[in-house]
Amino acid sequence: MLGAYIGYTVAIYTGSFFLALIIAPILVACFGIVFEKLLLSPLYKRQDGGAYLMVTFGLAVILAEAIKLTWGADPKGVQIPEMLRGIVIVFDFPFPKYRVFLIIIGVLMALSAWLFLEKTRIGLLIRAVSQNPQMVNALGTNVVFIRNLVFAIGCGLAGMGGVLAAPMVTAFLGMGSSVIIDAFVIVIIGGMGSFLGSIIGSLLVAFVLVFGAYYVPDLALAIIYLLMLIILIVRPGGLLGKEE
Amino acid sequence: MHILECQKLTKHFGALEALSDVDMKVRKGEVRAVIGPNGAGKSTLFNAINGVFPATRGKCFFNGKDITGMMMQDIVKFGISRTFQLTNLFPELSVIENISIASQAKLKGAWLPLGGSSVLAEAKHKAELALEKLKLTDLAYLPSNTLSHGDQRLLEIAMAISQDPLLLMLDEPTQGLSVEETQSTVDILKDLLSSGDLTVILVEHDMEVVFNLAERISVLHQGRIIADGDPEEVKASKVVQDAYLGGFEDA
Repeated sequence: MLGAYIGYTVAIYTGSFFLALIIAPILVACFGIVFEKLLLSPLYKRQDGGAYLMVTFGLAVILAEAIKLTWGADPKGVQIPEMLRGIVIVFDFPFPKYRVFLIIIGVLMALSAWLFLEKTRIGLLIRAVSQNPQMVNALGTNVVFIRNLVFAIGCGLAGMGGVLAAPMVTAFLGMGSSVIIDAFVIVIIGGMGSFLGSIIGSLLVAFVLVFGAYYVPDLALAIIYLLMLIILIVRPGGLLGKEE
Repeated sequence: MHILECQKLTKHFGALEALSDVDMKVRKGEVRAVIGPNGAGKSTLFNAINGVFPATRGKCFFNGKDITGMMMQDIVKFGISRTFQLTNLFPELSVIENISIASQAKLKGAWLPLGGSSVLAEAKHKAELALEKLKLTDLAYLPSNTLSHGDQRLLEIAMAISQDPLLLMLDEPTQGLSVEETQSTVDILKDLLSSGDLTVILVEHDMEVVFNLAERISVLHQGRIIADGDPEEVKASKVVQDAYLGGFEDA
């Protein structure tokens, strides 16, 4: 959400959507680092998941109010850049160019995230920290730095998502929470901690949402939760996750 | 020249004094065994030296530098690598990835995502060398949780070796191994030590392994060093027999 608003502001001031797409994620990532250092890192020692939840939720509320004070309560539309307006014909169907752009970006981001995790040193360390942080530390690597980095990357990606969503849905208060539930469902369906699982989960949720809304509109709101329910009954750890 | 020198190293856990005024000097290239009954403070000594937790009192010098109170991640960079008593791996990563995590730690710079891949290649190369030394090359691309217990313990040694340490600290490398696995581990360790450059401190319960590998033995009992000498001296020592070896034979 912050990404969308910052993106909106940058796009207004510079007149360039693409510049917004670069600057907003960086600013959001910086914000994430500060937030992590100041508020989250004191909690690491407590080993208490509830504490993170409360602090992040509290921050979300404060952020929403801060955005309201700064940008006002009315939705902010962001113009689709000139070159991405209009439609293209895909398999005889007209298709908005911007949606095609989003699909390409989505695939590129997923691919680069995968390459980053599998093929780089930091990617290897990130996977290692998720399994056994004490050992990574014992082997001579600064785990705190890795945590900060992952948090910053996550925030940056969220910021980018915000900018990309803004032209389609406008930047509005509450856009964050509308995404977060879908994201939660996707991760649960795909399986916690599984990269491929969350990609499959997101495609599945998207298809079920779209086709569900078309064929069984009465169930449109419930349908992804039904999907989650069925998958959790069959595979309690999610599609590619492990059972705890 | 002593590569490691501990002066009056002491560690309290609440009211318990797990280590009391431990003085220990280890020469460069030496293979030192630390033995003692359960709860004697052997692992505590390791942990206090390599920074798992800070010592309550006393000092530790490595290569003349004061490493007291330094953090684990920094001590590795000085050249001390260790294994743990309990197997401590990254279960879902492959063998070579496990070692790469160890071997990348001392490589400098290139934190950037793209630069990172060349560092990773170098780390993998070091990992392969370590695998070869430990005769694990065939297992390189298996997930580490599919290895036998014996191979997992060897993998831990490979991880420590891949960091090119000056001092290698092994915490019960043969714990839980079968007789054959123990023998092959001892053979592999002897191979590793044949060059004589590497200094080793070894905590071990298996006396055969100890007398097979160690040049000097320190005996810990209730947090104190009660004897210190070459294997023959220690075997003959009355104090040690009373405190430890005698009890061991009875058991």
